[in-house]
Amino acid sequence: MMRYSFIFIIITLLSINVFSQQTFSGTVRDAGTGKNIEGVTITIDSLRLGAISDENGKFLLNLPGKGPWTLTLKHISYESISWNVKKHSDSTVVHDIIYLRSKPYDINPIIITSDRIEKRLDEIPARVSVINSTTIEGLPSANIDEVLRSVPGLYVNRSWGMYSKNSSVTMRGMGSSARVLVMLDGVPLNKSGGGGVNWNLLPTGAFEKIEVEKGPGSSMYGNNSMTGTINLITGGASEKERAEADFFISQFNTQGIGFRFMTPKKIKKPYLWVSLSSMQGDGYFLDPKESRTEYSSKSFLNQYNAYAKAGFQFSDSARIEVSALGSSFRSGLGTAVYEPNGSYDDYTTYMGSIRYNVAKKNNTWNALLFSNYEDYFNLNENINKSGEYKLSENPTKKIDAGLWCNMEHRFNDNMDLIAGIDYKFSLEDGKNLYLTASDEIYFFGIHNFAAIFSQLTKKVAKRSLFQIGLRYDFGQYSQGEIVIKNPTAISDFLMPYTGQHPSSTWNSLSPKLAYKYLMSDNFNVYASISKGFMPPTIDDMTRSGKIRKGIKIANPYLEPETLYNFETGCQINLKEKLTFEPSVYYSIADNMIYQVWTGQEVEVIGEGPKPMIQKRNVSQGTVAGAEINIIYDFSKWLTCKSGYSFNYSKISKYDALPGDTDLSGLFMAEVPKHLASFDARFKYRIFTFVAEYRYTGETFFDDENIGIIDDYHLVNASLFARIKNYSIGVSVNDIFDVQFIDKKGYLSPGRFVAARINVKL
Amino acid sequence: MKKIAKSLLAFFSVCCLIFLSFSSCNKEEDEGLPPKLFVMFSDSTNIKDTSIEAGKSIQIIVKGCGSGSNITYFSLIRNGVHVLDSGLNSSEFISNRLIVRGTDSIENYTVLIRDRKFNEATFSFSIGLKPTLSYGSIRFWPNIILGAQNNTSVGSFFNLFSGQIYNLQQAYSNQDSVQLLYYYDVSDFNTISSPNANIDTSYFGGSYGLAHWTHKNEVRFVQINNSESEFLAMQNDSLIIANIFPYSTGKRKAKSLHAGSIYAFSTGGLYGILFVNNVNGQNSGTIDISIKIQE
Repeated sequence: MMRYSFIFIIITLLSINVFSQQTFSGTVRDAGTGKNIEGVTITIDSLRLGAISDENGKFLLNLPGKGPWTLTLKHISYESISWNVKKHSDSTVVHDIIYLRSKPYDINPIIITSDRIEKRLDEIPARVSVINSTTIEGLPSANIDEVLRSVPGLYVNRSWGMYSKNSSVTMRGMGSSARVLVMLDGVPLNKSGGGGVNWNLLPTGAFEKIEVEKGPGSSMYGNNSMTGTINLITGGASEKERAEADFFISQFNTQGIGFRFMTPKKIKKPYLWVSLSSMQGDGYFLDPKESRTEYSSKSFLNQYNAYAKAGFQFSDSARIEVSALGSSFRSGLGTAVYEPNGSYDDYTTYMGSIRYNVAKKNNTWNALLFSNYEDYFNLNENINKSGEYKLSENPTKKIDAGLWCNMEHRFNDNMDLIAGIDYKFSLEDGKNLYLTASDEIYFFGIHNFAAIFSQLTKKVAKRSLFQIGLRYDFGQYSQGEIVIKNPTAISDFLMPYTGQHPSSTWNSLSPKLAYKYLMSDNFNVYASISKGFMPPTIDDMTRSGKIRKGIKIANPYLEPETLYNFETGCQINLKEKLTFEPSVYYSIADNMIYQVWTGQEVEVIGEGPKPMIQKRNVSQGTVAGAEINIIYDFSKWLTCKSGYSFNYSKISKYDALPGDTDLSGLFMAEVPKHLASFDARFKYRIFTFVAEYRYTGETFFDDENIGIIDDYHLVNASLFARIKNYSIGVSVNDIFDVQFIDKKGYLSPGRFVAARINVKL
Repeated sequence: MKKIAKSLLAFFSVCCLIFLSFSSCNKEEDEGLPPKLFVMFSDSTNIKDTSIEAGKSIQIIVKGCGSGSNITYFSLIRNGVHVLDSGLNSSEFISNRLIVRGTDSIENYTVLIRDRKFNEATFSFSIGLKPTLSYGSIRFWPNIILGAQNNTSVGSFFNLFSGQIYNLQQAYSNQDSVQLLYYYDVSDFNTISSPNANIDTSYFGGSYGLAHWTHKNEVRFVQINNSESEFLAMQNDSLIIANIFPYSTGKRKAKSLHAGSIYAFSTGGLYGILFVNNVNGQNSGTIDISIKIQE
């Protein structure tokens, strides 16, 4: 009897213990993308209990006792959080979805830009920087390109701040924004008309991530990826329906609003992501005080942006998505005589795309159909040095449209092959209409591009990775024409150069060979040899006109510039706190395009003979450079990042006629030798404080190395507080009010203070 | 289902918003009516075909009035060549123009105005050529020596009507009496021009410098092909009339001058010819010129 009683008591005690447990089932997801996160460690320190999330982000814990329990979730790429779990009275399994926020600086993020498919950074033998939404949020930057100043080696030239009609982003010791491919969600933004990029299409809040791959990317992307590739990635659908609104106010009577709405991405259901924003401001005087006249005016700003993406997820591995973007940006140019707005630039952009992605067994197919239409309008009025009133309208329409297709075949876990074909069509149709004269100049040109490419990646013995790629591009220039009606002294000297231009074609072969060795999880090295190119622009092949040096005549026979690049670098991660990413590179540029004197003169009535200038492939150059990126995670409250780049960029050969300036041995224009940055992010409870330091070294702004922009330092800071769904902050750009004069003689805005409110609805 | 409908409605609303807001910003608006143009003689009589002697002038009044858009361009075309192109930005304007008859057998003039939207209005008339019964007298200034901008002993400024030479300070005190000046420039070399010729402010700078002048006369120049002997043989303005040019087609500067350079010039409705006898030095040098101008 006693024995049975004892057994009964033991069983009862055991049962009580079992029934005192609380089973907790969790799913860990990325707060930004909604994707499941594998490898999150979940611990309860007091109980020495733990789990790790699987590939679906799921984990299961049997929590003993009565609770409550505090779980700690940690992952190398995400900010650690604590999660409280209470015991249910009926002891049913508790299910929770836990969202983790990316750390400002991810050591091994997922990249899509490099190979057109998602891969981890440690699988890519190149120098790639990623700026995620945690970093973008709270930055003092008003425009997305300014965020790029924290990436070592990137030179962002936006001398009028948010009032700049355009910005120039260059890298790796080469000037000209046409030498960097910029994409928005994988859609190229570089216009074949002039090679430039419109950085004012969307507010910073619309972006989820920016991926920057430095070094030629033409073996994958062809055009414009001569020195690197930047992919601006906007937000995606979230796990649940949500909306947020931004309010912005700053000096120069500037105010803006933004709104974003997104729905969940679920299988066999449509999803939607929308961003709407506008910004207006009076601006400031662009002329320095000493040169201001009665015709100097402020650089006003009117900006409206709308972007919508809608898709349908057929399954986990197949989806179709359409997007539509509309943007209007109008900015004053600093002079006003009679026109109500004075001189201004207006950019109206419409973009659309349809993308289809499907993965089946070992194959992935991607197709992207895109179009980019820009309606540019310039109104220019001024009183010239002779006291004459001049008014002109210069509308130009640019179209860039194409179809990019690629497929990936995974032979096994260690080898994959990517192959694809690209086609792009570009058109430029513009006019120069002189309202205070009779001259009308019309110009038109078309580019067609077709390419085929392939890249093989093979892992060897777990730690080595080889990549070999090759791309063939074919380009055609056709239907180029310039027509002048009713010429006067303004344009009659161009009459001999009007009419149809001959068509021309060019080819470019872009190989790439790269290697990466992962010595350990914390140390890897890479080396690569690659070639990139920049195609000639429709502008240079079609347009003629008066420039500072003389009379520029179109050259329909221009060929692409090319860049051969050799680089190596490594990533060292110490105790998951300190990361070093140094790189060294040497590049040889060939067929570089410069304006040269043709040896002839053009007779201009009233001014006499002027030198005839033409853009030609006349030069070679070299770039020897190094850069380093250092990230230090001091604690969960403080993260610091610093970067430095050095570029020694010189023209090594220049085919000049006797009498023309020989640029051999001179430094390349608009390339600072030294660039440095330092960012500190301090997060405590509801507060986040960000401080930035930027140094730009002395820069020649002309090819002859006569004009210099002195070096300058900028310090920016922002402080914001997030309480539940509300965030309020203030930012100060250029705290020490370091105004400088750009190469055109215009003033930078100086200290700029702004306040922001963000509400998650 | 309701959520899907809401999402789709939101999506299409956004699309409509995008297209409406951007399609309303249409730059191509209606053409509109052409501006109104009135051209008459200075005595307000209606302009008609007429004939005058070479070298003589007639004054016309041009009045333009926009029909909803500002007028931005006013042009005077003589025998198919633009002799005046003027920019403006006004709903209406009145312009008095002096037309000096050249030596062509017939001069067909067209007055053209155009508004902001490229609507045009034109008026045409002709001026025939009467035989010249007598030529006018001329003023002769032989061997005028002018100093370049850094010459401290010889003045750089000249009065075409009194023959007086001024230094910078004297010229500043007699601004309305100065028509010509001389300087040397690294691009333009030896140059004769006038105070209103947009000269680099580093030349003739300081407190008396051209940047501070309130009255700046202007002279226009056209290089001609006549010889020194033809210039010297002139006893009346016949050669000057033979070289008459529409004022606004002349250059503001006579550049790269050297011994033997010869230019026709015009100022204040009068015409003349300038001959370069000699040039000596650079920005501290001198130029020796002879001038014959209508009286």
